Amino acid sequence: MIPFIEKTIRKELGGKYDFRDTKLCFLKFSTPSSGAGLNDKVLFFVFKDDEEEPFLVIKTVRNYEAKFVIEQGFSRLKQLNDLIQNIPYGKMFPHAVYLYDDGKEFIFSVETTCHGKRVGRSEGDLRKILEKYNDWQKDTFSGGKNFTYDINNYYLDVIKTLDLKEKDHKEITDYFLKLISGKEIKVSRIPQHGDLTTDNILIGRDGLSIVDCERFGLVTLPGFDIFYILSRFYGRKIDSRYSQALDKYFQMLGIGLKPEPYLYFIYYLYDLSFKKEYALKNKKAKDIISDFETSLN
Amino acid sequence: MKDNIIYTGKKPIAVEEGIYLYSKDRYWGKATPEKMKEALGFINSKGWTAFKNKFKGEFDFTFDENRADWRFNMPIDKNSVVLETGAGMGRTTIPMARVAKKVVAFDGSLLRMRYLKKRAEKEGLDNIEVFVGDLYDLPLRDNSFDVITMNGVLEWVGKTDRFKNPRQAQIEALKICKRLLKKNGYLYIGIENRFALAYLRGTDHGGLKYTSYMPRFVANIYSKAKGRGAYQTYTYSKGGYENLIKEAGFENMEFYLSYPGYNLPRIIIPYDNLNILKYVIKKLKPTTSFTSLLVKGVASLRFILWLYRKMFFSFSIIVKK
Repeated sequence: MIPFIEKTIRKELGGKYDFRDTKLCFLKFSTPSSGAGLNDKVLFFVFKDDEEEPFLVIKTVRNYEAKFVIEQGFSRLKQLNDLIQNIPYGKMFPHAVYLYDDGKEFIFSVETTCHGKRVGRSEGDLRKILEKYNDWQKDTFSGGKNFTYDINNYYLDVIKTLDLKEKDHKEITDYFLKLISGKEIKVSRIPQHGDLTTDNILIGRDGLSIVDCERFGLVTLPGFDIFYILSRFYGRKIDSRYSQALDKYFQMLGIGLKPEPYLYFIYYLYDLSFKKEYALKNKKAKDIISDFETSLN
Repeated sequence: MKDNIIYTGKKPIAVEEGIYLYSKDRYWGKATPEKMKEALGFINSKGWTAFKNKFKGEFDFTFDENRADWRFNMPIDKNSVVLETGAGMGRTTIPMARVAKKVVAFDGSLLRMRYLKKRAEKEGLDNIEVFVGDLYDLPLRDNSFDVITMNGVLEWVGKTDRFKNPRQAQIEALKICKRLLKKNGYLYIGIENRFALAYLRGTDHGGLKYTSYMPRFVANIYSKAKGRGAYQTYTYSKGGYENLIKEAGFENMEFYLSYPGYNLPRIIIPYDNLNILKYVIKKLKPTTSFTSLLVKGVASLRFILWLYRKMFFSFSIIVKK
């Protein structure tokens, strides 16, 4: 496939990125958590010969039937690019450059790269990430006219994606209703990155960069990204570090939300929905609820 | 009836459960044959979901779809006919079959071919043909394949008495692959580096430490003295593989470093590009400990990178006919 990709991008992008006559080298890269599944994406960094940093990233899938992974990822990155074109976060995210689809065997997308080193897992790194992330969210989404959405609708949206059996669906809904205890809360819809892990964050000369934006805007419940990255740093135990970080984020964006169990439960379900193949295997409602309660206690 | 464009018409010595045996069944593998039989019986009686639960952690690797990710470096499409030598339980056969026209897979073990046949049925892949055979006596016509894979095979083909030494056996195996390949076809070789750093800590293929580092005749004496028989599982450095492959009549080849190994190529780095190796170490590996910080520091030194590449664990080699 690489020989074909090389020929195609040379023709389509060689002029724009100045590599028509330059030798290209391809690095296939995936992290241990990137996935070994049929529908998982595969990444290639493209280097100009003799250069120390890649300038493009190619994304494809192992199986053409999973082409939606590439199509959606490309379109979501484009949405993000459109959203931030007038504010100073252009270098914080990659740019969607080109999408190839032959309609039968091959699909791949091309993005620009972000430069920097992968972040570590120290408290200092986390502080830096949250600070920069909060700045971006604030500058991009606060003060504008964001649509509001009933918190119950967020729950209904996420539970639908889990494909649970009717009995389990009902049991989880009863549990959620107990947690929310009749509160009616309207929340601003704030697009979340959706996959804010240390694998996807780089720190370099341009500051903080966030890559792998395929899930951008899939979740619009504010705070999900914070929950997601904290759970990768601190594990599943939801404690005061979570509530402090979320409180700070909500206040900064002027959102009237409090980090309460019902909110954590929706975050938790979103998290499950992204890895449902692995996480939901043979799981019943009681297992899901019990796992969640364990993380709360 | 086997497709006579690919097969020579040689008669099998037996047919079991629809699988042709062109050589005697010789089991090999980490799981014992008893365990394999139990697993196959379980799949038959209880199905794949129950099998995965019962044998959790034992056969999971056969379901990974990323084990043949080196195939991206070759032009494989729906017109490609692929031969998988030593296909084992099909961990690379299944991913290849998803993108190729046909995959012919053979192995010395009937049990492993039975497992692969069942996997193909489960995945609905009717473009996989399996048989039991010996690389040196195949029922296949010359110039039949667009791609041939030897993934973890070349180091083992020397375990035979047909040739005067393991190196001759390896050259003959490569020559056979060359004959079977169509013009401009590709041979893929996934294999360890003889001088891998890992071999200073762990054991070589023969089950003993340091043998790959020893001169062959010393390794042979040592292996026999330790009751392991003759030393026949030769691996080489990059230069060694180049000479071997050239001696088999190939001229064009490209080397890649596969990390963590050719069996699970999460990262594939062009061998000739030290900048990319440096980028992987310095930029893509997270800094999680003092050791990783130290490694990143020394990766700035060209000589250290050069040395590390020399001692990298395994190679993915793409050879063009």
